[in-house]
Amino acid sequence: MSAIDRVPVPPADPAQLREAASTLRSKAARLELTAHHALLAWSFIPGSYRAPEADGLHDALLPARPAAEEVVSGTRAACLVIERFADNLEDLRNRRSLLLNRLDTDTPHTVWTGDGGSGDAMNALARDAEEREIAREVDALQGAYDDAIDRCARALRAIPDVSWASLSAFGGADLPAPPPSVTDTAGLGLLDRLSSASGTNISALLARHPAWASAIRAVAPEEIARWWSHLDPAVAAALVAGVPALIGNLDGVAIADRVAANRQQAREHLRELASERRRIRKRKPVGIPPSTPAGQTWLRELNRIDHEIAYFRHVLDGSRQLYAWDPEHGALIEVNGNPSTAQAALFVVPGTNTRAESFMRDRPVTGFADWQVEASGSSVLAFTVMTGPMPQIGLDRNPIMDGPQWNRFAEERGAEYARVIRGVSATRPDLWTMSYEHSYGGGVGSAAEAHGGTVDARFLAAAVGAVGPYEPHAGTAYFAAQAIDDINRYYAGLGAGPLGFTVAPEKIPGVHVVDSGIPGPDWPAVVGYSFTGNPVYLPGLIGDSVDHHQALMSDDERVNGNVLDAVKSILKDKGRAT
Amino acid sequence: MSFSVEPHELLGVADRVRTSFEELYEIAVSLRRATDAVALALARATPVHSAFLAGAEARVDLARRIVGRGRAAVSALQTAALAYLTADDEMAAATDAHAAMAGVGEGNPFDPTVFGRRRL
Repeated sequence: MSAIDRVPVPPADPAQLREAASTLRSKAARLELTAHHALLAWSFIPGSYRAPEADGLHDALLPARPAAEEVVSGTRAACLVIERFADNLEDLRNRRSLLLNRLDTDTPHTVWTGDGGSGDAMNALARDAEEREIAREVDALQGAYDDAIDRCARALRAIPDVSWASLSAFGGADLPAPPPSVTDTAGLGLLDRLSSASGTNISALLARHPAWASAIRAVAPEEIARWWSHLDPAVAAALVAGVPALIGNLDGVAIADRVAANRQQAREHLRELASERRRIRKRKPVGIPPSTPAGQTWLRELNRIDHEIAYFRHVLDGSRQLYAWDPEHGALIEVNGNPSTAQAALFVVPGTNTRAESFMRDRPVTGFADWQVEASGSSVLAFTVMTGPMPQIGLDRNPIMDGPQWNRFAEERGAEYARVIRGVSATRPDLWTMSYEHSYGGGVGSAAEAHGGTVDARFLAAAVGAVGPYEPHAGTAYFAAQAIDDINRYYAGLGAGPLGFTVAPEKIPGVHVVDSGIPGPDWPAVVGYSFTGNPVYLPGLIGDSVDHHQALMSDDERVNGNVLDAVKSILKDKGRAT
Repeated sequence: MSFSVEPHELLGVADRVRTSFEELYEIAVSLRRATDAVALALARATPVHSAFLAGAEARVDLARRIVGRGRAAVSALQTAALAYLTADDEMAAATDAHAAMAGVGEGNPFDPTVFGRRRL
């Protein structure tokens, strides 16, 4: 064995030890934080559940806190000891390197020269002395390693053990299976109860238990879709007829059944509207000409209800189909197209100033979706989506908290829109999906992604973008279009806290910018305003900006032809639509 | 005895607890992996290796058992929440009779008019 081979090998690699200890320490920190979150959430249970049997349950997790602390403190202490061991080995590594260097160097062993005899003897003595010295150093290094090992092992053993009493207090070593989602289990259990009732009992049962509706609506759309798909058609029909307001707004229910439920709602609503119209007619101002303010108000009211009646008659005769209608919450989603021939689903999310009346006017907000269905030859199923209140601009509105700069609407609608997308995808996983989002609708679509509401393609049309920090979804293709003088260009990408959207659509990584084909501003007016500063130019310039913004929701090919064709083309190329 | 069950809140809290304990399970698994990595790094220092494992194994085991306790508690809570949500007339009547015998208030805790509200 050569001298170099006698030098002891370090018992561990200090860098590897430090890295492994650091990882272990970070896992312990995560365990501490997550256990804290779990137990904090559990501490709220007594506030919502007090009953004779509940006390034992409240206390069930009391031992978990000290146990988690025991795990974390012991792990941290062990990491500290391992790191000290690594430091010791690091110090010894220098010593070992010096020794190896010394052995590696060509030390002259033949000091004395001459005619043999005493010279050779002196050389032999010198070599022996050097070898003894090296042997001492090798032994000393081995001793130092052994000492470091010994100290480390003793320090590890000094960390208090997890007591077997504490282990046994936590039951057997077998881990129970993970419980299913409580919300899903409870909601599906309630649906089972409803579906086992018959006829009019279904609505009576739900009326007796008003808390059931919100518990059922909280179930994941995918779970609802799975449950609904296994339902006997007769039972499904009974639920549609018995509780149409619940089924008509339940994400995950088959599209045709939701439409049928909302038609049933429309039938009941038309009866209410007829009574309301009679009341309005009775309130006709007597002796006041229609041209007066009071007469105008009455006429507007009558006109509004006539439009609403006309709309719901169309719903009843099937010429308009409601995928959702929840007037209490402010949700209305219209679907157009034939589910049986559809190959792609297009969700159109209109933005600021969308309300139920937008669907009922002479040129309804569904125009863009209707055009795409028509152009696709029945291969597109299009939804025009309003899941709840949208920002409104008006003299009677708060310009901040009701306006399009308030991003909290997007947060709330985003979660709801995600459920809509997930519901359609769960019931029709074969459909390629695209979301066309206009103006504020772009903020809704961006927020929906965080709740699992993702589609194959998003088209942000004159859209506000997203609240940063924002990461685009990996499986989604992004498109954007807007006029160069679009009104939202003045504040695109600006925001802080609840105000504004900090990521403009064209800044989304990988976005394809589509030419909107919409003319720019009135350049002579721009030049005139630039040179003179005369505000007389402003109304015209601002008016154009607003018109160019609204143009991207138009179904008029002369106004919005480029984008209508671009969306049609995307649906055709990516969505396999014909 | 007072009854107070707020089903919607209870379900929300129970799901938060469930999610946290499932995350804790993932962490317990990664704690096991990180422990194995340290043990591997100590493989040549036999006394240290065995001293480390003697303590670490029990801690990893305890982390796993905490998850087990959490899962069991969530399952029990789920059973209770479901029982209250789907309480039928028979159950309501039985509870009402029990409460009356115990002389602790009147009325049916499952009555929709009081269900979900604090009733002392």
